[in-house]
Amino acid sequence: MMLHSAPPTPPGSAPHSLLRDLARLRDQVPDCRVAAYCDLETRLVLRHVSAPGIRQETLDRLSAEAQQGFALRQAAQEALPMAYPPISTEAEDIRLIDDGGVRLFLRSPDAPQDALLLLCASTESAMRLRPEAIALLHRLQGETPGPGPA
Amino acid sequence: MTTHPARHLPDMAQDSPLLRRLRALAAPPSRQHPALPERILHHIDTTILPRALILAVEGAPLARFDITQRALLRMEGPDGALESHEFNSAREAAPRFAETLLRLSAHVPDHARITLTAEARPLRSATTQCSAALLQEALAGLAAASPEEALTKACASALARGRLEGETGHITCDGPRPELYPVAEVALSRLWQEQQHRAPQAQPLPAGKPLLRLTQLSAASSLAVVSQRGNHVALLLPPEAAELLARHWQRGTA
Repeated sequence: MMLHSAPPTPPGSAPHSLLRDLARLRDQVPDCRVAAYCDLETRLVLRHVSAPGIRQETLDRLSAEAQQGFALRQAAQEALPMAYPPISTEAEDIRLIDDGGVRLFLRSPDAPQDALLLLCASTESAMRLRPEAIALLHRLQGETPGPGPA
Repeated sequence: MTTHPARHLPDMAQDSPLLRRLRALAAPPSRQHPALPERILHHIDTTILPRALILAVEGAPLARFDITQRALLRMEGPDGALESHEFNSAREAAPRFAETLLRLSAHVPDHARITLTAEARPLRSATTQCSAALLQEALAGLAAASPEEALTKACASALARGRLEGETGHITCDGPRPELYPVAEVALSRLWQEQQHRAPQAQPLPAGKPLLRLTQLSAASSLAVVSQRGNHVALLLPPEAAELLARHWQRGTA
Protein backbone atom coordinates (compact mmCIF):
# COMPACT_ATOMS: atom_id res chain seq x y z
CA MET A 1 0.00 0.00 0.00
CA MET A 2 1.46 3.32 -0.96
CA LEU A 3 -0.51 5.71 1.26
CA HIS A 4 0.07 6.10 4.94
CA SER A 5 -2.92 6.06 7.22
CA ALA A 6 -4.81 9.36 7.02
CA PRO A 7 -1.87 11.42 5.78
CA PRO A 8 -2.27 15.17 5.48
CA THR A 9 -2.76 16.29 1.90
CA PRO A 10 0.31 18.08 0.56
CA PRO A 11 -0.31 21.65 -0.56
CA GLY A 12 -1.49 22.19 -4.11
CA SER A 13 -1.90 18.55 -4.93
CA ALA A 14 -4.63 15.97 -4.88
CA PRO A 15 -3.32 12.74 -3.37
CA HIS A 16 -3.67 10.71 -6.55
CA SER A 17 -2.16 13.46 -8.64
CA LEU A 18 0.90 13.57 -6.42
CA LEU A 19 1.25 9.80 -6.52
CA ARG A 20 1.02 9.96 -10.28
CA ASP A 21 3.66 12.69 -10.40
CA LEU A 22 5.96 10.72 -8.11
CA ALA A 23 5.49 7.59 -10.21
CA ARG A 24 6.21 9.53 -13.38
CA LEU A 25 9.34 10.96 -11.80
CA ARG A 26 10.57 7.58 -10.55
CA ASP A 27 9.87 5.91 -13.89
CA GLN A 28 12.23 8.27 -15.71
CA VAL A 29 15.29 6.31 -14.69
CA PRO A 30 15.24 2.55 -14.28
CA ASP A 31 17.38 2.45 -11.16
CA CYS A 32 15.32 4.90 -9.10
CA ARG A 33 13.81 2.76 -6.37
CA VAL A 34 11.88 5.29 -4.31
CA ALA A 35 10.34 8.71 -4.87
CA ALA A 36 8.71 10.19 -1.80
CA TYR A 37 7.20 13.42 -0.55
CA CYS A 38 8.05 14.24 3.03
CA ASP A 39 7.07 16.69 5.75
CA LEU A 40 10.40 17.52 7.38
CA GLU A 41 8.88 19.06 10.49
CA THR A 42 7.15 15.85 11.45
CA ARG A 43 9.68 13.63 9.67
CA LEU A 44 6.72 11.96 7.98
CA VAL A 45 6.65 10.59 4.45
CA LEU A 46 3.25 11.69 3.19
CA ARG A 47 3.27 9.94 -0.19
CA HIS A 48 5.67 7.59 -1.84
CA VAL A 49 6.05 5.24 -4.75
CA SER A 50 8.60 2.46 -4.75
CA ALA A 51 9.56 -0.64 -6.63
CA PRO A 52 10.12 -3.05 -5.09
CA GLY A 53 8.14 -2.27 -1.96
CA ILE A 54 9.80 -0.43 0.88
CA ARG A 55 9.48 -0.94 4.63
CA GLN A 56 8.08 1.76 6.86
CA GLU A 57 11.33 1.71 8.86
CA THR A 58 13.26 2.64 5.74
CA LEU A 59 10.87 5.51 4.97
CA ASP A 60 11.24 6.72 8.56
CA ARG A 61 15.01 6.56 8.25
CA LEU A 62 14.94 8.45 4.94
CA SER A 63 12.83 11.25 6.36
CA ALA A 64 15.06 11.46 9.46
CA GLU A 65 18.18 11.61 7.31
CA ALA A 66 16.62 14.34 5.17
CA GLN A 67 15.65 16.42 8.20
CA GLN A 68 19.11 16.04 9.72
CA GLY A 69 20.81 16.72 6.39
CA PHE A 70 19.00 19.99 5.82
CA ALA A 71 19.60 21.04 9.43
CA LEU A 72 23.30 20.35 8.92
CA ARG A 73 23.27 22.33 5.69
CA GLN A 74 21.54 25.29 7.28
CA ALA A 75 23.96 25.35 10.22
CA ALA A 76 26.94 25.19 7.88
CA GLN A 77 25.56 27.96 5.65
CA GLU A 78 25.02 30.21 8.64
CA ALA A 79 28.69 29.75 9.56
CA LEU A 80 29.94 30.83 6.13
CA PRO A 81 32.12 33.95 6.15
CA MET A 82 31.04 37.06 4.24
CA ALA A 83 33.33 36.22 1.35
CA TYR A 84 31.31 33.08 0.69
CA PRO A 85 27.68 34.22 0.41
CA PRO A 86 25.21 31.32 0.48
CA ILE A 87 24.24 30.17 -2.95
CA SER A 88 20.86 31.35 -4.16
CA THR A 89 19.19 28.36 -5.70
CA GLU A 90 15.76 27.21 -6.77
CA ALA A 91 16.18 24.14 -4.59
CA GLU A 92 18.50 23.04 -1.81
CA ASP A 93 19.80 19.52 -2.10
CA ILE A 94 21.63 17.00 0.00
CA ARG A 95 23.14 13.80 -1.34
CA LEU A 96 23.96 10.81 0.81
CA ILE A 97 26.12 8.25 -0.98
CA ASP A 98 27.08 4.82 0.29
CA ASP A 99 27.16 1.25 -0.91
CA GLY A 100 23.36 1.20 -0.97
CA GLY A 101 23.21 3.92 -3.63
CA VAL A 102 22.35 7.60 -3.53
CA ARG A 103 19.70 9.36 -1.48
CA LEU A 104 18.90 12.75 -3.01
CA PHE A 105 16.89 15.09 -0.80
CA LEU A 106 15.46 18.28 -2.30
CA ARG A 107 13.51 21.15 -0.85
CA SER A 108 12.52 24.63 -1.95
CA PRO A 109 13.85 27.58 0.08
CA ASP A 110 10.33 28.99 -0.06
CA ALA A 111 8.76 25.91 1.53
CA PRO A 112 11.55 24.39 3.62
CA GLN A 113 9.25 22.05 5.49
CA ASP A 114 8.47 20.01 2.35
CA ALA A 115 10.99 17.76 0.67
CA LEU A 116 11.26 15.25 -2.09
CA LEU A 117 13.30 12.13 -1.39
CA LEU A 118 14.77 10.00 -4.17
CA LEU A 119 16.60 6.74 -3.69
CA CYS A 120 18.65 5.79 -6.76
CA ALA A 121 21.42 3.34 -7.58
CA SER A 122 23.81 6.00 -8.87
CA THR A 123 24.51 9.68 -8.39
CA GLU A 124 24.21 10.08 -12.15
CA SER A 125 20.64 8.80 -12.11
CA ALA A 126 19.76 10.95 -9.13
CA MET A 127 21.13 14.07 -10.78
CA ARG A 128 19.30 13.21 -14.00
CA LEU A 129 16.04 13.29 -12.04
CA ARG A 130 16.92 16.50 -10.21
CA PRO A 131 15.48 19.06 -12.69
CA GLU A 132 12.15 17.27 -12.94
CA ALA A 133 12.04 16.78 -9.18
CA ILE A 134 12.58 20.52 -8.66
CA ALA A 135 9.81 21.25 -11.14
CA LEU A 136 7.53 18.93 -9.17
CA LEU A 137 8.43 20.69 -5.92
CA HIS A 138 7.49 24.00 -7.47
CA ARG A 139 4.28 22.60 -8.90
CA LEU A 140 3.33 21.44 -5.43
CA GLN A 141 3.64 25.05 -4.27
CA GLY A 142 1.71 26.26 -7.30
CA GLU A 143 4.62 28.42 -8.37
CA THR A 144 5.94 27.27 -11.69
CA PRO A 145 3.88 24.65 -13.45
CA GLY A 146 5.52 23.01 -16.41
CA PRO A 147 8.81 21.29 -17.08
CA GLY A 148 11.91 22.07 -15.10
CA PRO A 149 15.14 23.53 -16.40
CA ALA A 150 17.13 21.46 -18.86
CA MET B 1 60.19 -12.47 -39.72
CA THR B 2 57.11 -11.40 -37.75
CA THR B 3 55.43 -14.68 -36.97
CA HIS B 4 54.35 -15.56 -33.46
CA PRO B 5 57.51 -16.45 -31.48
CA ALA B 6 55.86 -19.19 -29.46
CA ARG B 7 55.06 -21.19 -32.59
CA HIS B 8 58.72 -21.65 -33.38
CA LEU B 9 59.94 -22.96 -30.08
CA PRO B 10 60.73 -26.68 -29.87
CA ASP B 11 58.18 -28.98 -28.28
CA MET B 12 60.54 -29.89 -25.43
CA ALA B 13 60.40 -26.29 -24.20
CA GLN B 14 56.60 -26.13 -24.05
CA ASP B 15 56.38 -26.13 -20.26
CA SER B 16 59.24 -23.81 -19.50
CA PRO B 17 58.51 -20.58 -17.62
CA LEU B 18 60.02 -18.65 -20.49
CA LEU B 19 57.63 -20.20 -22.97
CA ARG B 20 54.66 -19.61 -20.71
CA ARG B 21 55.71 -15.99 -20.41
CA LEU B 22 56.11 -15.68 -24.17
CA ARG B 23 52.72 -17.25 -24.74
CA ALA B 24 51.15 -14.87 -22.25
CA LEU B 25 52.71 -11.91 -23.98
CA ALA B 26 51.66 -13.09 -27.42
CA ALA B 27 48.13 -14.14 -26.51
CA PRO B 28 45.25 -11.72 -26.86
CA PRO B 29 44.04 -10.32 -23.53
CA SER B 30 41.49 -12.52 -21.82
CA ARG B 31 39.10 -9.58 -21.69
CA GLN B 32 39.27 -7.34 -24.69
CA HIS B 33 37.27 -4.41 -23.41
CA PRO B 34 39.32 -3.20 -20.47
CA ALA B 35 41.39 -1.77 -23.29
CA LEU B 36 38.36 -0.19 -24.95
CA PRO B 37 38.68 3.18 -23.22
CA GLU B 38 42.35 3.26 -24.15
CA ARG B 39 41.53 2.45 -27.78
CA ILE B 40 39.00 5.24 -27.91
CA LEU B 41 41.41 7.62 -26.20
CA HIS B 42 44.03 6.76 -28.80
CA HIS B 43 41.60 7.72 -31.58
CA ILE B 44 40.76 10.95 -29.81
CA ASP B 45 44.41 11.83 -29.34
CA THR B 46 45.34 11.20 -32.98
CA THR B 47 42.32 12.61 -34.83
CA ILE B 48 42.74 16.13 -36.21
CA LEU B 49 39.95 16.51 -38.77
CA PRO B 50 36.31 16.24 -37.72
CA ARG B 51 35.32 12.62 -37.41
CA ALA B 52 32.52 10.55 -35.97
CA LEU B 53 33.98 7.49 -34.29
CA ILE B 54 31.42 4.68 -34.28
CA LEU B 55 31.76 1.93 -31.69
CA ALA B 56 30.04 -1.28 -32.78
CA VAL B 57 29.76 -4.52 -30.85
CA GLU B 58 29.06 -7.61 -32.94
CA GLY B 59 28.23 -5.26 -35.79
CA ALA B 60 25.61 -3.29 -33.86
CA PRO B 61 26.43 0.40 -33.28
CA LEU B 62 26.58 1.09 -29.55
CA ALA B 63 28.01 4.58 -29.19
CA ARG B 64 29.26 7.50 -31.24
CA PHE B 65 32.03 9.95 -30.44
CA ASP B 66 32.37 13.28 -32.23
CA ILE B 67 36.05 14.19 -32.40
CA THR B 68 38.09 17.00 -33.86
CA GLN B 69 41.49 18.53 -33.22
CA ARG B 70 42.51 15.86 -30.73
CA ALA B 71 39.50 16.44 -28.50
CA LEU B 72 36.17 14.81 -27.80
CA LEU B 73 33.27 17.17 -28.47
CA ARG B 74 30.31 14.98 -27.82
CA MET B 75 29.46 11.42 -27.04
CA GLU B 76 26.24 9.59 -27.69
CA GLY B 77 26.03 6.53 -25.49
CA PRO B 78 23.61 3.65 -25.30
CA ASP B 79 21.40 5.37 -22.75
CA GLY B 80 21.13 8.80 -24.23
CA ALA B 81 23.24 11.59 -25.54
CA LEU B 82 25.75 13.45 -23.42
CA GLU B 83 25.99 16.81 -25.09
CA SER B 84 29.27 18.53 -24.41
CA HIS B 85 27.67 21.97 -24.32
CA GLU B 86 25.62 20.88 -21.32
CA PHE B 87 28.75 21.21 -19.24
CA ASN B 88 30.39 24.34 -17.94
CA SER B 89 33.92 23.07 -18.39
CA ALA B 90 35.90 20.19 -19.80
CA ARG B 91 37.01 19.30 -16.27
CA GLU B 92 33.38 18.92 -15.32
CA ALA B 93 32.55 16.97 -18.45
CA ALA B 94 35.47 14.55 -18.35
CA PRO B 95 34.19 12.44 -15.44
CA ARG B 96 30.84 12.02 -17.19
CA PHE B 97 32.55 10.90 -20.37
CA ALA B 98 34.85 8.60 -18.42
CA GLU B 99 31.99 7.06 -16.48
CA THR B 100 30.10 6.34 -19.66
CA LEU B 101 33.18 4.77 -21.22
CA LEU B 102 33.64 2.52 -18.22
CA ARG B 103 29.95 1.61 -18.28
CA LEU B 104 30.23 0.76 -21.96
CA SER B 105 33.23 -1.43 -21.20
CA ALA B 106 31.38 -3.24 -18.46
CA HIS B 107 28.39 -3.95 -20.69
CA VAL B 108 30.34 -5.39 -23.60
CA PRO B 109 30.36 -9.19 -23.31
CA ASP B 110 33.66 -11.04 -23.07
CA HIS B 111 35.23 -11.82 -26.45
CA ALA B 112 32.65 -9.71 -28.28
CA ARG B 113 33.76 -8.45 -31.69
CA ILE B 114 34.39 -4.73 -31.26
CA THR B 115 34.92 -2.36 -34.17
CA LEU B 116 35.75 1.30 -34.20
CA THR B 117 35.02 3.10 -37.46
CA ALA B 118 35.93 6.72 -38.12
CA GLU B 119 33.75 8.63 -40.58
CA ALA B 120 34.27 12.15 -41.94
CA ARG B 121 31.66 14.59 -40.73
CA PRO B 122 30.98 18.31 -40.97
CA LEU B 123 32.66 20.54 -38.43
CA ARG B 124 30.43 21.57 -35.57
CA SER B 125 31.07 24.13 -32.93
CA ALA B 126 31.35 23.17 -29.30
CA THR B 127 32.03 25.13 -26.17
CA THR B 128 33.64 22.23 -24.37
CA GLN B 129 36.38 19.99 -25.65
CA CYS B 130 37.75 17.07 -23.68
CA SER B 131 41.33 16.26 -24.51
CA ALA B 132 42.48 12.67 -24.30
CA ALA B 133 44.75 13.62 -21.41
CA LEU B 134 41.84 15.01 -19.43
CA LEU B 135 39.77 11.92 -20.16
CA GLN B 136 42.66 9.69 -19.22
CA GLU B 137 42.96 11.50 -15.91
CA ALA B 138 39.25 11.09 -15.25
CA LEU B 139 39.37 7.42 -16.19
CA ALA B 140 42.32 6.79 -13.92
CA GLY B 141 40.55 8.52 -11.08
CA LEU B 142 37.40 6.50 -11.54
CA ALA B 143 39.09 3.19 -12.07
CA ALA B 144 41.38 3.43 -9.07
CA ALA B 145 39.06 4.88 -6.51
CA SER B 146 38.36 3.23 -3.20
CA PRO B 147 36.61 5.31 -0.55
CA GLU B 148 39.97 5.98 1.08
CA GLU B 149 41.56 7.01 -2.22
CA ALA B 150 38.61 9.20 -3.07
CA LEU B 151 38.85 10.90 0.30
CA THR B 152 42.63 11.34 0.01
CA LYS B 153 42.27 13.00 -3.38
CA ALA B 154 39.50 15.27 -2.15
CA CYS B 155 41.52 16.26 0.94
CA ALA B 156 44.29 17.49 -1.32
CA SER B 157 41.98 19.98 -3.00
CA ALA B 158 40.03 20.98 0.11
CA LEU B 159 39.77 24.63 1.10
CA ALA B 160 39.40 23.53 4.72
CA ARG B 161 39.37 20.19 6.51
CA GLY B 162 37.94 19.20 9.88
CA ARG B 163 38.15 15.93 11.76
CA LEU B 164 35.96 14.74 14.60
CA GLU B 165 37.23 12.00 16.90
CA GLY B 166 34.22 9.82 17.59
CA GLU B 167 35.48 8.73 21.00
CA THR B 168 36.14 12.17 22.44
CA GLY B 169 34.25 14.64 20.26
CA HIS B 170 37.52 16.48 19.72
CA ILE B 171 37.61 18.54 16.50
CA THR B 172 40.74 19.62 14.64
CA CYS B 173 40.86 21.75 11.50
CA ASP B 174 43.46 22.58 8.90
CA GLY B 175 43.70 23.63 5.26
CA PRO B 176 44.54 26.73 3.25
CA ARG B 177 41.39 28.77 4.09
CA PRO B 178 41.19 29.26 7.88
CA GLU B 179 38.13 31.46 7.45
CA LEU B 180 36.22 28.27 6.54
CA TYR B 181 37.27 26.31 9.65
CA PRO B 182 34.15 27.44 11.56
CA VAL B 183 31.96 25.90 8.85
CA ALA B 184 33.63 22.53 9.29
CA GLU B 185 33.47 22.89 13.08
CA VAL B 186 29.75 23.71 13.05
CA ALA B 187 28.98 20.75 10.78
CA LEU B 188 31.03 18.33 12.88
CA SER B 189 29.63 19.64 16.17
CA ARG B 190 26.14 19.07 14.87
CA LEU B 191 26.97 15.52 13.87
CA TRP B 192 28.52 14.92 17.29
CA GLN B 193 25.35 16.15 19.01
CA GLU B 194 23.19 13.99 16.79
CA GLN B 195 25.39 11.03 17.54
CA GLN B 196 24.91 11.54 21.27
CA HIS B 197 21.13 11.88 21.05
CA ARG B 198 20.27 9.79 18.03
CA ALA B 199 16.92 8.09 17.98
CA PRO B 200 17.08 4.47 16.86
CA GLN B 201 15.23 5.10 13.59
CA ALA B 202 17.68 7.87 12.70
CA GLN B 203 20.68 5.54 12.73
CA PRO B 204 21.89 6.19 9.20
CA LEU B 205 23.92 3.06 8.62
CA PRO B 206 25.31 0.04 10.36
CA ALA B 207 28.60 0.99 11.99
CA GLY B 208 31.57 0.67 9.71
CA LYS B 209 29.92 1.48 6.39
CA PRO B 210 31.33 4.69 4.97
CA LEU B 211 28.81 7.41 4.16
CA LEU B 212 29.31 10.62 2.20
CA ARG B 213 27.02 13.60 2.73
CA LEU B 214 27.32 16.30 0.10
CA THR B 215 25.74 19.71 -0.37
CA GLN B 216 26.67 22.96 -2.08
CA LEU B 217 26.79 25.92 0.31
CA SER B 218 27.97 28.81 -1.84
CA ALA B 219 29.07 29.46 -5.40
CA ALA B 220 32.64 28.60 -4.41
CA SER B 221 32.22 25.96 -1.72
CA SER B 222 30.53 22.65 -1.12
CA LEU B 223 30.43 20.74 2.13
CA ALA B 224 31.33 17.07 2.09
CA VAL B 225 31.17 15.02 5.27
CA VAL B 226 32.52 11.49 5.34
CA SER B 227 31.40 9.34 8.25
CA GLN B 228 32.60 5.93 9.31
CA ARG B 229 32.59 4.16 12.67
CA GLY B 230 31.51 7.29 14.50
CA ASN B 231 34.38 9.33 13.10
CA HIS B 232 33.68 12.19 10.73
CA VAL B 233 35.73 14.24 8.27
CA ALA B 234 34.30 17.51 6.94
CA LEU B 235 35.74 19.03 3.79
CA LEU B 236 35.02 22.42 2.28
CA LEU B 237 35.62 21.86 -1.41
CA PRO B 238 35.31 23.76 -4.66
CA PRO B 239 32.03 22.50 -6.17
CA GLU B 240 33.75 20.72 -9.08
CA ALA B 241 36.02 18.86 -6.63
CA ALA B 242 32.94 17.87 -4.66
CA GLU B 243 31.34 16.43 -7.79
CA LEU B 244 34.49 14.47 -8.51
CA LEU B 245 34.48 13.15 -4.95
CA ALA B 246 30.84 12.06 -5.35
CA ARG B 247 31.67 10.03 -8.46
CA HIS B 248 34.84 8.52 -7.04
CA TRP B 249 33.09 7.74 -3.78
CA GLN B 250 30.24 6.01 -5.51
CA ARG B 251 32.60 3.82 -7.50
CA GLY B 252 34.69 3.12 -4.44
CA THR B 253 31.78 2.03 -2.30
CA ALA B 254 29.85 0.16 -4.99
